[in-house]
Amino acid sequence: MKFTHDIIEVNEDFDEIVELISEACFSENIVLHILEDHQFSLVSSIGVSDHLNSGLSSLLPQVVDKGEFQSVINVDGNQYQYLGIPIRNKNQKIVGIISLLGQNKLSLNSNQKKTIRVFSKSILFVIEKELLHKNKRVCLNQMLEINNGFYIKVGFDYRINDIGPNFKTSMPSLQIGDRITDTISFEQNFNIKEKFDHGDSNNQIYFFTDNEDKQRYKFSFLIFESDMIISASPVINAKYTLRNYNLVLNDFSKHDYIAEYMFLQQTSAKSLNEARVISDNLVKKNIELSKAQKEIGELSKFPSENPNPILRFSNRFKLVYSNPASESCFLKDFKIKDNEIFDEKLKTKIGDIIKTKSTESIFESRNGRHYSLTIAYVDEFEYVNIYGSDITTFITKVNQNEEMLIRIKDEMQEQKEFYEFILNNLPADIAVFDTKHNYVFINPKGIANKKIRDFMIGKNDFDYAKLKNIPDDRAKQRRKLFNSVLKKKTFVTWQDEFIDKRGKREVVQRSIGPLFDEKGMVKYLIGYGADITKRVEAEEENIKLSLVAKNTNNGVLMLDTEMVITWANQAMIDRSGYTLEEMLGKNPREFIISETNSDVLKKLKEAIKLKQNIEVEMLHQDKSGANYYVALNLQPLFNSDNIHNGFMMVEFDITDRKENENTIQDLNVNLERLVQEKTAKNIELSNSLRDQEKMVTIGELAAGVAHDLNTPLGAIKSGISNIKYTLENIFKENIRYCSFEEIQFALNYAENNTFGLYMGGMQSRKESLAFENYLNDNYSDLIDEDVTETAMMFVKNRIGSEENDIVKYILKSKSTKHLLQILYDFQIIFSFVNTVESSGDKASLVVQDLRSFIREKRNTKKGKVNLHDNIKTVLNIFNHNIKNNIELDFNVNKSLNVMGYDVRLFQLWSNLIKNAIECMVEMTEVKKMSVYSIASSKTISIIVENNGPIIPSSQIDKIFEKFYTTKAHRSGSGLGLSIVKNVIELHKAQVSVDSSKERTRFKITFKKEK
Amino acid sequence: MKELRYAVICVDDDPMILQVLAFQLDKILDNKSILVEFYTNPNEALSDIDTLIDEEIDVIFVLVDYQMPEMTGAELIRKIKSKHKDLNCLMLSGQANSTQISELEKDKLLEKFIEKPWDEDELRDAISKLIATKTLS
Repeated sequence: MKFTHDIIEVNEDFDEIVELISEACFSENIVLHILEDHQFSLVSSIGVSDHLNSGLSSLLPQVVDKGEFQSVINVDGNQYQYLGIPIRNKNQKIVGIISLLGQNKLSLNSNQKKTIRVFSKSILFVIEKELLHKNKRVCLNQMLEINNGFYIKVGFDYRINDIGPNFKTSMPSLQIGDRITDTISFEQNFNIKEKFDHGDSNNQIYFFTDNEDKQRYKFSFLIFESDMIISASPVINAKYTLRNYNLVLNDFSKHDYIAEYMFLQQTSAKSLNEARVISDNLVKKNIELSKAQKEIGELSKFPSENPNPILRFSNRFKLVYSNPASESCFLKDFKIKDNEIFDEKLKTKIGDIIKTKSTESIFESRNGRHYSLTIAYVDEFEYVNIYGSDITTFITKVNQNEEMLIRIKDEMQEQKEFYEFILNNLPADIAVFDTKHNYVFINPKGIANKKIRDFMIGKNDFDYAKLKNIPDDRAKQRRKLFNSVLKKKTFVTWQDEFIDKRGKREVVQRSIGPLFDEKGMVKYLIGYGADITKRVEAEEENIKLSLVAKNTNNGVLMLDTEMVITWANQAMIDRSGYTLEEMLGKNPREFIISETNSDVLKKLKEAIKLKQNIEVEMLHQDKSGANYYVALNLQPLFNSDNIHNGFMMVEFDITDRKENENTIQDLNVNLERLVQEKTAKNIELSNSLRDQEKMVTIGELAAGVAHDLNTPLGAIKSGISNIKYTLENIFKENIRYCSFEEIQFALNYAENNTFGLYMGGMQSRKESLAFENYLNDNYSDLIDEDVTETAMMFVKNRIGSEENDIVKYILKSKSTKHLLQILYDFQIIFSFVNTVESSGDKASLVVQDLRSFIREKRNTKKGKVNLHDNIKTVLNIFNHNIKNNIELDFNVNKSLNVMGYDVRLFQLWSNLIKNAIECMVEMTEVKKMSVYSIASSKTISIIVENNGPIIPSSQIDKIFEKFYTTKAHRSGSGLGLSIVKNVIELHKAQVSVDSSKERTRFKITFKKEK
Repeated sequence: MKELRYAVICVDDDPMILQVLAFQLDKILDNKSILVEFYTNPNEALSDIDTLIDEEIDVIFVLVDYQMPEMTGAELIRKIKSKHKDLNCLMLSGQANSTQISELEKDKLLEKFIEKPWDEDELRDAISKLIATKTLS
């Protein structure tokens, strides 16, 4: 047992009752404890010190054990008499103890005992009232929770006090402390001020709308303890799926609350009856009490010390004696002055008593005070004695108690209405049966028609069948179930699914179970059902939609547990060529799956059997009989109770990829590969993918490289044909006119002089004219007609007048013209030889760059890679696309190295650079690309930036996905950025993309090696 | 010296190409009466064409590369044609943007497109035809 000595719950009713007891029992020291859950709580005390109080701890449990109990205790050296009187409830359970303490022996006469019993009842009422209030609150909360947790409590200032858990999820903008009207808008006829003022909850349904989400809720309300409680439920629309409700089917099995409600309702009704009886008793007891007062008066021996008025009149109505107590009010109230009585009524009464020589007790009220008067004729002295007692406080208290009882009664009525209101408005049908399967209660959701509803009370399902003139199969079925529940005494829950008259599907979750009385016997059975069609449908639809939405481009099949198709999406219909109707009800193995590889089929079968997720690649067949490869994902589906209810099949057409793979395989018939194939299938898979990636990169590079090779090869080709032509020229004619020495001279000259590759016509004319003048001035012996021709030949040979000796030597020759021609031819040959040589170098550089992409050995070995050189190689490959076309700003620090795979990094840069170039192809403004580095103490970042068109933010997340391409019909394989992603993962680097109108930027960040 | 009446213009940013062209044109053309000019810079070529035409020299054709600094061959041709709409334009390129070329052809701005590496005879055929029409008229 526990003790609480401090008064915690201050209820003034207790204080007043204790005061009254003190008065009635002439006791100055009284303590009242109440006992709840084995805990004593001190609720009121008069004239008892804390110390003395704690001394009671040992006595109270004895009262609980023995009932009324008397004892003696020592506290602080003083001896006290103790009397403990238990307060029992209707079940004779002790709920409180009145303790009387005194210095003298405590003995109560029968009237005092009766008085205490009456007050015990009053105390019991106060306790039960408190208890009811507490229960009411608990019950309210539980009822609100049953109603899906969609409730709001609003204070009289319209601010929100409390929010149901489901609103917290579905309407997070609803905040405690906010004004309700800020977050939601009430519809139509609902004026919150008016409803608060009148406090009527008239059981109507209203609507409000969530300001933010525009979700509509229907609700009813109730004013409870000056709060408005709004109990709502969302009006279902497509937007609100189950997820928003945050509900699961289990929510509906909170039958305990309903059971508790039923129990409470019973007890409330019982308490009401009890209250009535007690209230009647109280009135009776009042009369008894007045008798007791009479006795007290008569017994009073010491009028002057008596706190009640005592008077004596002579038989001629003269006041003979009045005690001090009568002086305060009594004399004045009954107009007794100068020993004369002027109160006519009392005077007449005294007269009657004198006449009859009798004794009578009466109640009289004067000036708001109530008196109990015992008028007795004392024969021997011919006096009339009046024993008065001011019972004002007592009467007031009794009146108050009566009021209180009426109040409790009202509250109980209110409470009953409150629960009925909730039950009648619950979105569930509820029926309560007695143990004979007769209806005790049905809510409107159960039977809508009020007449039939009222009729059914006290009747059963067989009567209902008769009334409706329908077969009683259902009644029989229910009786069977009812009997089994009655026997097992547990709740049974099941789902009814049927098609209603209008062909609409309806799913109802039903439960039936027992309600127990206090003794644990089944008193009633409660059955309830909720229409969960929308929820079940929403749930089913939700599962479908959420999964399907993700995979709209892929074929999706929904299958039941037997692998029978129940639904297919558009992509599936498009790809397979079958209509939805043709697919429904069939097993895909009968017509879609055309795979013959038994391993694959076995794997699939196994996964279905074990209800496991599986991904396989297999062959399918469309309606026309054509085969196509798919990557198939089969996923088992489970409902909220974790019961397997089917499969989903998502397939992705990989025919193209598969064919590529086959081609690659056909080409690679080397031994190594064969060995690889046999040894590890996993390695093969990843390799084939890597090869595929490499093929893509190389393929895309090839186009560019072709040009880079084309130019030098073209130059080599034409250079060689020009050399051949010139040589023919030399040997055919000119060589015959020149001496060996002259040829030697020409060769020597051609070898040692760089020959301008070409010369503009205008310039050569100018130079020729000048040279002609020079010749005329210095070599006047030359034949006229030859001068122009000769001058032109000199200019063609790039021999200027400053080269005197050369000019003189040539002019001295027997055939100057032939020598100049042969000199020119030699120079042409040397010049083309140079061109061919440098073109060859150029071509080999291109091949070198390209080779570094392909060399397998370097691919597999991790090593130090210089980022500048690595990126430069890539830029060289793309040189033909960049030069003259794009303003390139290449600024990568030459000292930056990372540990990695150089060829893989080539792939990284080439994909980024290629993308940058391609995205700018159609731009008309100046194209810019920057490749630069930023290094910090821990990281190295390479930024590849271009000023091409923006990548929409909706696509940024997708660009790294395999086969994602924006260049659907152009060059894109869709592999580019997925390769980038792979390489980045391989190097444990990170990539970030940001794209604006001005520029698109890829930033690759490597960790610095320690 | 013969009176100059005709000119031929070659524009390519690669001097080695111009060298080959110089050699081949030397064989094809009578360079005594036809001025052959080479430019690596398209802007220079553009201003010289204006000068030549001002001096009443008949420019028989302009042979341009596609990929060049400052402007593409397509742009150069459009510029030339906007001023001298009768001037014949030929293109010699290994990496031209096909949409640009087909647009030029659609607008009837391009006489002939020759792919690099080119065949000398193909070049000769194209040029001879033009020379013949010009010099015989």
